[in-house]
Amino acid sequence: MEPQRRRDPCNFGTGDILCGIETEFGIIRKDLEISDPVLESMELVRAYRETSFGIWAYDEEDPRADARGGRAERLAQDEEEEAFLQTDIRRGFSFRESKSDRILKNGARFYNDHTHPEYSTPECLTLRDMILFDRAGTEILREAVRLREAVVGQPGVLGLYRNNTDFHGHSYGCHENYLLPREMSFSEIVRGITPFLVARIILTGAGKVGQEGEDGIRSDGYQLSQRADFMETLTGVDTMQRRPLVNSRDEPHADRERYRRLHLICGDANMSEWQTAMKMGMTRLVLASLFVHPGKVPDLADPVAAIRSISRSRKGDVAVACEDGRMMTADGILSLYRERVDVVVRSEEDRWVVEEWDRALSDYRADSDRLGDRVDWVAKESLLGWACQEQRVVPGDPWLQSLDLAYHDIDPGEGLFWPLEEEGSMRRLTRPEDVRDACEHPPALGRAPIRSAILSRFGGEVREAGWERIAFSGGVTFDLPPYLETDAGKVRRLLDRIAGMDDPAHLEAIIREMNKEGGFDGANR
Amino acid sequence: MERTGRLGTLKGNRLEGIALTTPGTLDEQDRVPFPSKKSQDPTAPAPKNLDPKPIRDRMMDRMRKVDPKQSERYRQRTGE
Repeated sequence: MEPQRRRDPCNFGTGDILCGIETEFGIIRKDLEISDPVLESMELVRAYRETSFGIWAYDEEDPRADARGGRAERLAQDEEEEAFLQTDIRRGFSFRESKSDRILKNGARFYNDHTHPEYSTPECLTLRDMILFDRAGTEILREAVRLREAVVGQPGVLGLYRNNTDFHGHSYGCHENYLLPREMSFSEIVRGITPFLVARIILTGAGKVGQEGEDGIRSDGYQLSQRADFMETLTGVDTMQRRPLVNSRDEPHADRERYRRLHLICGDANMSEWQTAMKMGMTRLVLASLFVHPGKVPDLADPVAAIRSISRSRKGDVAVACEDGRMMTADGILSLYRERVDVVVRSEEDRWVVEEWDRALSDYRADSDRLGDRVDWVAKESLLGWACQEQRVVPGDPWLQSLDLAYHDIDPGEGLFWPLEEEGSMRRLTRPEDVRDACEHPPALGRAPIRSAILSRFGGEVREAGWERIAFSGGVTFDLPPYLETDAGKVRRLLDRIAGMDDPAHLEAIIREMNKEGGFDGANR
Repeated sequence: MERTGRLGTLKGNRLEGIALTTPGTLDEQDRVPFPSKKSQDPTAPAPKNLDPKPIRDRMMDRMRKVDPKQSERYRQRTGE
């Protein structure tokens, strides 16, 4: 049953929406004709030793819980998953060995997920932290590659790619997570956000040579999005097959009476920091505006067909049909949403997002090439154009897909993106010294720093840990609410208390005491 | 503080609406989240971000080193 009472929307904004990104990387051994992605992914994660803890609390996870009601009996991917598991068991790997979980010092999770090394940022409350900790993931993966190649004894043999496809019909994700008030119903979210998700690819697409999906595989042509081909339905609980634009997994990783986690799987993995910032920034603003002002937005007649149509059209400028018979272009839809979010613009970060949003739409309309300093699909298309001009390559030449792949190579000496960023042709938002710091230390806000402090102080006494709970060997468990209202000073005082504690059983008492003092009330939001 | 340089007029830590990511505390960084750019005149010619010859030459050198068969060998399992 959906709760009816809505909290006061006047004070609700993006700062109330905890968020994070999970990125699965493609992995290959360049020196082998056939790679074993399970082994390579496992060994890569294990090579990275800057870890605060290594036993993940899988009891917290319930990917079959469906926000539309009930719980799926089976997921479409179960059969494939079970086959993977059996193969791994035959090779002598237990479930936990295969996953090789790592909770990193910076609060991130690093593990082998379905044969891909996955880096999940710590939960973030600011956009700046979001981008910083996402970029830290790239640095952490690079360091893991260096360590793994040292073990193998051959520098340069591992290829890691921040993309979403192998061009042969296999896709892997870059998932966004937004923690929302439970009183926002799932159906209201789906209806409100779907046209935006379809349209945003003109600003958030990573670009792809070729076409995949249920309507066939082609190696020619160019489209805006890597993931659009793989979207097959509007909503659903599956993530590996029958992929939905809006995933209905009801797994909040927080108190389910008060929160729901919107888990979006339709987005591309971007190389451009600006795109990652705008993808998360625009989406948080849209979600906040839907909470504050759940007015009507134009329903698309067929959102799945629309995202493919926009992705595969020249520059994304095709009009798509709305249920009321209107035809709208992606930039027209984004303009409608842009107007709607004004009511929730409160912070400096919000203002940055809307200014960039306006500027990007203006540039897109004038000439989409103007976005070449911010948007992967535009920059990549320019590179491919040069290659075609100078090498007289014909459409469908496999070199073009190889160049597409190389654009996403995280190796600074090999990847095609990095010289563009280094030369200033692509904008960079983070500073290297801040990224280095984010590899070692958690964000200052939210629950991530609290989890890190507890694992640092009591790691030897912890049985398992996850996003929302830490279980100690002695039987004590400690819940980690999102801590949305705290400021950095309050969190710092709590961390100091944790560092001085002798017994984890006293954690709850300390939180209660700080609540009474009015010094730490974030758990109550 | 206000001074004018190559990029424009610096007022405090802001460059005429361009937020600088200057070294400082987290709080300072939070106030100036990201570098930004001034609005462009929509009638002006498109910026040639990738046009300058040095970057084009550098990128072509790197692209020529990419194995044309790499994408054919690149096989992954479905993820999520």
